Amino acid sequence: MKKIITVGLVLMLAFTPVSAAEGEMGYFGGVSSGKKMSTLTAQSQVKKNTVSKYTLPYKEVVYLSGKPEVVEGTITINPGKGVDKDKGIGDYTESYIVSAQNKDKTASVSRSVSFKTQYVYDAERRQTVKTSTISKWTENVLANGQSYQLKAADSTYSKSILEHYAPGVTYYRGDIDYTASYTAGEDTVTVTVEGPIYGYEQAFAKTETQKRTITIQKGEDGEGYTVYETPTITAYKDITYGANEPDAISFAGNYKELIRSEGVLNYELDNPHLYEDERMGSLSVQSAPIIDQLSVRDIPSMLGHPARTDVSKAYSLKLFTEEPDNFSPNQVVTREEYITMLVKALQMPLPEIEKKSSKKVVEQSPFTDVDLEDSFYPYAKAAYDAGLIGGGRVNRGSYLTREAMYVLNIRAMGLERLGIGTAGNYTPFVDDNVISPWAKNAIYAASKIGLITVNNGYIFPTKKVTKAECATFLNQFLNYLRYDLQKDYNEKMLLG
Amino acid sequence: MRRWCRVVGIICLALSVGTGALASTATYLDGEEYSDALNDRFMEESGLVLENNPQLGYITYRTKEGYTLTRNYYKEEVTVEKQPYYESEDRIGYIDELFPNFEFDPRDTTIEHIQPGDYIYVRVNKESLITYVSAFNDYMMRYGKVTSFTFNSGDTATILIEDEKGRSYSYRVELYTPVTKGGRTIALSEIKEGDWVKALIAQRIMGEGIINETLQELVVDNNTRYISNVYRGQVASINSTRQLLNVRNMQALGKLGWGPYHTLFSLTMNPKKVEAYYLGSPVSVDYVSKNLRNAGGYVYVAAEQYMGKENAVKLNFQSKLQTVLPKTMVTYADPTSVRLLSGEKLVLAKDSMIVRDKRLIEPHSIMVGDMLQAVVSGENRLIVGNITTAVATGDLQVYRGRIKRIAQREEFEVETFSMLEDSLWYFYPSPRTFTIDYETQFVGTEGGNATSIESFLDYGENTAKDDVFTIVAIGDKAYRIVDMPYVKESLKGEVYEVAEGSIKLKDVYYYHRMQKRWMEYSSKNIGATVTVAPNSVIIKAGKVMPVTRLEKGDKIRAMLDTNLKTATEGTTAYIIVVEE
Repeated sequence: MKKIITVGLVLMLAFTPVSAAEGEMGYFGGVSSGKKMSTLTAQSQVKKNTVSKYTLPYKEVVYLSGKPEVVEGTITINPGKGVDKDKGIGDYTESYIVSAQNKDKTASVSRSVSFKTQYVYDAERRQTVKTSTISKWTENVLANGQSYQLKAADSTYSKSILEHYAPGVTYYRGDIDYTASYTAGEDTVTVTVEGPIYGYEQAFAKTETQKRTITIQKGEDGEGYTVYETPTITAYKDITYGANEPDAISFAGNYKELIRSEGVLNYELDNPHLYEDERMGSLSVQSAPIIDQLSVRDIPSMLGHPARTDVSKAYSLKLFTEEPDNFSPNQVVTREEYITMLVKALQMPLPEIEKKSSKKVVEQSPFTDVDLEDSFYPYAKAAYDAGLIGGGRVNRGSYLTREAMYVLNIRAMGLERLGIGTAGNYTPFVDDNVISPWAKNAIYAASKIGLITVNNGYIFPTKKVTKAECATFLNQFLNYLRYDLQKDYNEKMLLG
Repeated sequence: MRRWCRVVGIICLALSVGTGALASTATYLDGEEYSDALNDRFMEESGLVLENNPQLGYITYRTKEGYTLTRNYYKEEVTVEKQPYYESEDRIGYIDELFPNFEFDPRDTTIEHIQPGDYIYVRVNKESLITYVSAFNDYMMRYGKVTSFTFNSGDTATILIEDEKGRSYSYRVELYTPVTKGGRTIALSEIKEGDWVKALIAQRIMGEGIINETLQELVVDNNTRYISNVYRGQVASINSTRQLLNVRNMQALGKLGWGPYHTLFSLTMNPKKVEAYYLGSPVSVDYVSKNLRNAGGYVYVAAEQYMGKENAVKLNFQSKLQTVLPKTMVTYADPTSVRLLSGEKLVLAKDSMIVRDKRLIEPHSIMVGDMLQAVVSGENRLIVGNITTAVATGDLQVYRGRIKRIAQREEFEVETFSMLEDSLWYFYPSPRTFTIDYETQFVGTEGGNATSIESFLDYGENTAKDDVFTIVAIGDKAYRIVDMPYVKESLKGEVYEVAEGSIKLKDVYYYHRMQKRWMEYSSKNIGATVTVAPNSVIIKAGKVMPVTRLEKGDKIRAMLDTNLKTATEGTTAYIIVVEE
């Protein structure tokens, strides 16, 4: 029976992202609406739809005439087969085709680019380095009625990206540097672009932001100008509740996830020949959200309870699974339960269970207190594989304290480094002296990113977490992943 | 032979100078010191600085193990490194400690710069004296809106920042605190209430719950987030899936009051980022959606341009009874009320939408002397307050002069010049020099760039010598040199329509040069249509603007090529100044 449940859960939750999906706006300064994450319903399907090529609405600003001209169209992306972590090394081809023009057809971009990307996956560091060289680049630009044709032989492109796989979030940072040389009649225009790319991807949101410094040189007599451009795309899962209007319906309402995505581009053109208010601008690419209803469990015992909403959300996301009749908000959460919740919420890939009858070597459990037949094993192993917990003794039955919860949350996000340097010193809380030394880093990091709500200066680190509190803290954590983490990558970077 | 001796002599001299220099920089170690260095005989500690006294030469710090230690140092002998917040890495690295040299290391500093709250790594020699200190701060970023910015009596200011979750933080801003906007350093006085800022904070935790935060750097939003419009109408619907607010019978607030009706108008609205009030009380978006759809009265909407779209950020539901008061000066202001020069006393509340410099500001930020355009409810509550600043030409001055001399890329001199004041040219029979640089624009008769600073010469085929230009300058710096006719006729009026290349004016007066007074153009107020030349100079809010920035309600003064009253084939404006 346990096996059947385990295999069922594996089928339901198996989710194997090969690598971060960077490049959804191309690497040439334009911006798309971004590709939305899959719905929970789609993820639960046994037969997955694998899309190798997709087209997104796209906007780009053309600066070649000296005045910003916005063109609008599509970008078709073939991201290639991506990183094969089992092989560790390899290469693939990614391609981007842009077709866009402005309303009065005085500006347009037609571009086709292919990169050959080589990668090395370092399993120990949980990092992949991807380095790309351009294998095909054709481009024609129309700016203020003047045609510019790319001279591929005089153009160069270099792109390299480092990905880091934290247990629940994949972060990446890359750099691009390219020179595009265009002929315009008798003249030559050289565009040099340099800048970093930042991004992350997790179960509830993904964002990518590029900070591009562009220099446009016209001819050889020192004419030109500089552009500062910040394109960013964000997709995230919003969660809202819909109350039912009819009375005669079996459930009062339910939660739904709305998967939103949009692209934004801010630019500033440092061309003194323009009026001051023509030098900067902002544009966005919107797309319609996708609705995914979440199933509902009625929990009559929670009526009027202050944590009712949080508990309902946890049930809707299938993080709480016990029968509502058995649910007690004051029951203390165990470490096993919380690890299971995090694995499910953050969609850490569940392992394939090796059958004993197969000829392969029988899998050994890395834990001393969880064996292969245990229903907790897939989740413990998923957490272990993702780096959330270590091997040895899991202490599955021990009660979860607040400080242990923050340690797991911060580790899941891979943000332990924000606490480095504070070990042995103070966190900002009045009951700092109660915090265990092993939890100080994580609690400091959590306070730094605003993940801890302070109660009159106290956080009660050793207090055991009840089901009601767990639902509340978990929602606070997931809301950070849905809404707040992205601000570091879009709002704060667009500001300056 | 003599030559050979001279060569040997030069070599000897060079060697002696070289070795002399070496001897003067080398520090000789005795045997024990050499052995200590060879065997790394020092102790390493790290911790949090509690006190540092360079005068008495001691520092107290708490180690990771929780011990509080006080150690001495010789101020002149201790090596100190501290990473400035703006350095992304220690580029020089350890090499300048292993092999001291004269290469610039931005981390090098003195012991005076070690402050309580700094984290330090120290090396202690066998005499228990500190010989090396490396310090770092823990920086964090706060992001929010400036709700108050006040200058203190000393050389400091106090900034109050409210983040998106409503938490407020107060910081002291020193005169030397770096403040940038769009990558450029700006003066403290350019920080406006309502600006969005990123504040780099050095957080020092001195004990349980004892936090000391100091502002290290302030980055001000480069006008990417501003109040673009204030609308009124009725809520037709709220599309919660697409996050849209649909407004019926929408009107935008302009200089002349509420503009034309639009039967349906949509703007984005994120329920997490909008505040809504119904007759002064805060309400939720769900409440608005359920109970205030198509409600009688008006909803006033403050819309913010941000991230490439217009977003509703504040809703205020009021009854239909409202009045738009013309722009009037504030004669008294406190956080709950203002009195206007026209006599009205207005009540301010949390639901009031007050806009200054395209930013939403708090009621306490209205000041005596502000020019306030007010939308007022029946109970004299301020619903919308639009504070405008009357800047016509600002620092810009308009001159006209004949080129006498040009120093290429540097300056030019005019023989004599006239300066435009109000609608008259005042002649000055003396030369004047204007500087030019990369910012100077040269505009020809067809508009656009006629020439460049490189070809602005007083010789050759295209010499500009003896040519007459109109010059827009700030002080002696010429920003715009325009080839246009000498325009002496003038008019005053209010813009009611802007089209490509022309504007329509009402309430028009023209200047009668003989009688030296303004005359009404038409008793029936038929208005006037004026062509705007491609090389016109339009000055609005102290800046040169394109004609598209003229808007309905702008009160302008224009210099024309022909007298408006006597012109038979229309008239062309070459210099337009928006006065209010």
